[in-house]
Amino acid sequence: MNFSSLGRFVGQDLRRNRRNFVFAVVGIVVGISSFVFFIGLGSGIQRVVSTEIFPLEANRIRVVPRMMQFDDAASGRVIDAAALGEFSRIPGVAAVYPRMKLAVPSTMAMVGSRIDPEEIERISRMPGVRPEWLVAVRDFNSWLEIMADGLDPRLVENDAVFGEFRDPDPGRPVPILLSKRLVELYNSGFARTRNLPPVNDILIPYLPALPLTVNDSFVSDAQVRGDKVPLQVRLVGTSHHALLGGISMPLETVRKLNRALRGERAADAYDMAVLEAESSARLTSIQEAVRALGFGIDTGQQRMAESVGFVVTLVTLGFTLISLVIVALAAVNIAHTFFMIISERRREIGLLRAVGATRRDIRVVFLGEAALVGGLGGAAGVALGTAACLAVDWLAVRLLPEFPFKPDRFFGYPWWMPVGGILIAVLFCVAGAFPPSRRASGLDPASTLTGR
Amino acid sequence: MWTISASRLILRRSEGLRALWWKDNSRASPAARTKRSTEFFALSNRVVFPPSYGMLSAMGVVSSRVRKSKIASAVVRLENVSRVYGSGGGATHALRDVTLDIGAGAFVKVVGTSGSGKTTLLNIIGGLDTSYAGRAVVAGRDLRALNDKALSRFRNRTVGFVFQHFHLLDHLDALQNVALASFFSGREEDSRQRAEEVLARVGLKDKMRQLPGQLSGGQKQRVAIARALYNRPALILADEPTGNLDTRTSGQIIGLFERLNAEDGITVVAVTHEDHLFRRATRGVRLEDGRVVEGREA
Repeated sequence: MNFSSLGRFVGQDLRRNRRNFVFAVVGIVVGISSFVFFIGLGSGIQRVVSTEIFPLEANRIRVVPRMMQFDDAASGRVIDAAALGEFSRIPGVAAVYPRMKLAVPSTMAMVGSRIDPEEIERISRMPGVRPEWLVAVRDFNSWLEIMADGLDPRLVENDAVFGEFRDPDPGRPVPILLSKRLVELYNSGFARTRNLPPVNDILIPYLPALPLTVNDSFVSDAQVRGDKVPLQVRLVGTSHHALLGGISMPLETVRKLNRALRGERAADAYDMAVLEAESSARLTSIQEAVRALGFGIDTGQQRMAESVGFVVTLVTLGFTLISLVIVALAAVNIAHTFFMIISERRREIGLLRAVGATRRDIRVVFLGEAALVGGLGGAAGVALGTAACLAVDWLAVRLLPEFPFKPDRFFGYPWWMPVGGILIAVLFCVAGAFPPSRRASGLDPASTLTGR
Repeated sequence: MWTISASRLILRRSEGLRALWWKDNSRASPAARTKRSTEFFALSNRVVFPPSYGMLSAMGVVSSRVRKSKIASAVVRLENVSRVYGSGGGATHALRDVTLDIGAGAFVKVVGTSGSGKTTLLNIIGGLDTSYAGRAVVAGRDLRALNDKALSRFRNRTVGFVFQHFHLLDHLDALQNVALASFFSGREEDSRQRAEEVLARVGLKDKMRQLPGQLSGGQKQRVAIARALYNRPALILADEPTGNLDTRTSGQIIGLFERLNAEDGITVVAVTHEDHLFRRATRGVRLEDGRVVEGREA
């Protein structure tokens, strides 16, 4: 029996038994739709974790000074200009982006009443700005001790979208970047509870410059030596590279401050260097070379992403397994349906054998019917599951309150999801129909035709 | 064009071989017959398929000499065939030591009381039942020696079955029911044309698109006969073909069998309770308690 004959024959049979199959396929539709739903949800959450919360860069590694270890002559090296030179000479390294911590503490006195009324007036004219925000800003008083670091402008050139991120001319505000995660936490938590305006792409250009006092502390005077350095800072964007619990300035600004306040040595000591590989395939060899030079690799971010990703995958897998159990139960139902159909069609099977069908032909006919039922049920399940994803996505985005990292879309739609859904449905249906098809092919044609 | 010519050539060669085998085999000893039959079919299997007599006749490939020789030779040969259902004390002997030759082109009626083994005999000849003792050679093939594929191919191309209860598929129209065998023959390209041809042959040219539920009993049986004729079989096996029909319709159906036998040279073996209806049968075989008690020899 060739493929086209099989297709025509199976199509005819399916039309005849459609009522039986409609009931049998309900389980497949439910199972596959839940499979699609959970895969979609898991994929969406995974996307948020890997791109928003713990963004991973496939071709970059973070090099840090290695912790002191016994019997390790190479440990304890400081990342300085010489080390940066060594990094850049490692084969496969395309760029080196150093990062330097500000060696002294800083404070920021955010007193709403001190903000220039003209600035407030300017912001109030912007569309979408609520009057209560401005009231809250005027009444807001907060004194913060802030950590700061210096970033290589090349590393964040795409993030500083509202101003130039470079060491400013004397007297001009220092451009700063805030961590995207910090901003997200502020917007969805701190700002909402205090009725403060959110920090977003609309408001950032209009935010006033804020005062920062370098070499100042509210906590302890032990680290403060020498004069305080008053500065004005202005937010120019948000970045995944920015310091999570502080602010990031241009590298050169921090270098100058460290030199002025802590001496030349502090101006040539970096706490981290981001190494960019020519391709992700070179990362392993670069990591080995870095370790051989006496430095360590900071995998904290990656480990965190992997841990969260693992938990998400585990939960997704759990729900997916439940959906597969539903499909498996549906396959048992399919098996029952086929046993029933075969019992009803014994004479027909005998007739087909009489006109030349081999045992294999009979088996293939029933398996073909099962595959077609599975394919159609799988397609219906995929359609239903996708519709459910879209509906829940739409409702979740609109009805759920704001929370940190609330995504624009809760669901992901990987290309393999519909293909996988249909394939699983076909596989389970064929597996369910296998025992009945064996029984059908083993029927004795003489006894089925005589009804014996 | 080349394909058609080559096919004709192969058919000619195959039929020639078959004719020779039939002619010579009738005079040979059993051992020689077995050997010759093995050699013949080893050779014959090299061609596309051993074509049926009816097919060659329709194509005009068969000469009168060949036709005569074919008719004269045995198309069915049963040697000491026994069939037992069940085992031990509950065993039922459906056939006991049946030895029977049926010549090509014969019209044989098989009669006997219920349970005498008539249907079992047909099932064995048609390759539907291979759980027998003894030897059954049909159209040169030792049926028990064939594997499932070869046996199915034999049923598809050499034998046509007609049943008492018609066994038409209710969801298919007459044309589709007739062309059912084409699904398994691997020759679907001209199935519609052939189905129309055989339906016209049984007088149902105007009923081709009717579902079985829209046909009378006699018309259903005609569709079943057309289905049996579809692949131009050498042998038609009819199991109580008039059992569900009134006398007038039965006469028409039997007349149809007679025409197929006389005009197309198809061998017909019909099991019946209505002995009197098959007046033109060339031979009668009577079974009693699984034994041939009358008509063993042609």
